[in-house]
Amino acid sequence: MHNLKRKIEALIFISETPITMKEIATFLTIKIDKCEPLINELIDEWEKMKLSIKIHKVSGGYQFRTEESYKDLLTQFINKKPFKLSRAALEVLGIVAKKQPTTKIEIDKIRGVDSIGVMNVLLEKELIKITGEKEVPGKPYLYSTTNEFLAVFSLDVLMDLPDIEEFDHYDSITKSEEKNN
Amino acid sequence: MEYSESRVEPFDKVRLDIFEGPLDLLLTLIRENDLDIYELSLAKITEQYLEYVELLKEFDFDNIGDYMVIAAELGRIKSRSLLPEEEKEESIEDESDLNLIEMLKEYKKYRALSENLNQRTILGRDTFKKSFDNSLRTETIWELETTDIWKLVTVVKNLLKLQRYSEIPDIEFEQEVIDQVQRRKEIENLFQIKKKLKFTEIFVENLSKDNIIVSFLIILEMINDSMIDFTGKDIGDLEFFIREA
Repeated sequence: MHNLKRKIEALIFISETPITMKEIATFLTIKIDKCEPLINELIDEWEKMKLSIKIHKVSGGYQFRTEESYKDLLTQFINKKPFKLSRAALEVLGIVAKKQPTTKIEIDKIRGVDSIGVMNVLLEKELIKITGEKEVPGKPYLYSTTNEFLAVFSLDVLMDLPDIEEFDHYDSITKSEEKNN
Repeated sequence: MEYSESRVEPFDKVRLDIFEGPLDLLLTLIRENDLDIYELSLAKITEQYLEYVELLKEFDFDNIGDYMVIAAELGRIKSRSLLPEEEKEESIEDESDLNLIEMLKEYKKYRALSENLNQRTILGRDTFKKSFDNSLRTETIWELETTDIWKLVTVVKNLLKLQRYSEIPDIEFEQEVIDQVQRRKEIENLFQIKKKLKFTEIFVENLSKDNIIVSFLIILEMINDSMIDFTGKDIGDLEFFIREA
């Protein structure tokens, strides 16, 4: 007789993409509110054991991931040429994340420069996707971020990103910090 | 950025995604001059901005128009700042549809957000998941840009000024033809031998202006391809190094 909690653990372990609570509950034919406390217990157990992996809540689901302190070891082991994301690419990602669904024109307007090259890279890497057309003349494409974006940036939901207005005085803060040093 | 299309003419058109755009340049200049985002600050850095645009023009890239739009707006702000107070009142009506101050303030927030994204725990950089592909072929390993390319541009800009190219009148000199492929091989060979190269070892004395620019574009490509990176700030201490594979 398997413990329900251990069954959930096994499901999370073998899932390649973050597995949602709903998927777990449906498969095990249990109610979601019975599932949730068990998952939280699991997260706590793995956390307390201080191993090299633990369960993360990302992209609306659960996934085993390695601790950050092993990053150098693992990068060496995987030994693969990294894919470079420019600062421009990160900017476009941030704009799409906050303004979605949004058009290329709106992105270009905020950045003051054409962003097509960067957007193609983000589309190709599935960090953003086309989600429709805007009902204005020319019907420009609308872009949104993907679940992959959430997974890569360790976000559970978009709301986990800080409010853009929080950054209003960002530069002046860092500037005065530098002066103090 | 990683484009896999085969390029017939390798370095003719630089993929200048590596530059973040005119607003980024403006913010960088404002910050370097320890100013805040006001019209007066913009008037102060107009000349500096134009110097960069002059250099960027040499690269012949698609987005130069976007830099020119901002340059025109800066010119307008600058000339207005030179007007006496009473006339300023009269000309206060904005004929321009650009509000550069607002644009910069808005853009600055997104630039801060992009830094925030960069600091997150990134899957494929800081944390890893179980892979179902033993060769790990399908996993993307991310690397996020951390170096400030404008620093490098500044050094090259200063170098060109140092050599007084800007004072050479508009006389057509005999065009030196620089073989870009050949020059890249030369630079790559230098790195093979030394692993670390001082700025002055690549941009040696008496290099022609065209050669400086071609060499710079090659260096940008190599940085973009994660082959090399650099440290330092000025001609004296700027050093390029080969990155560990």
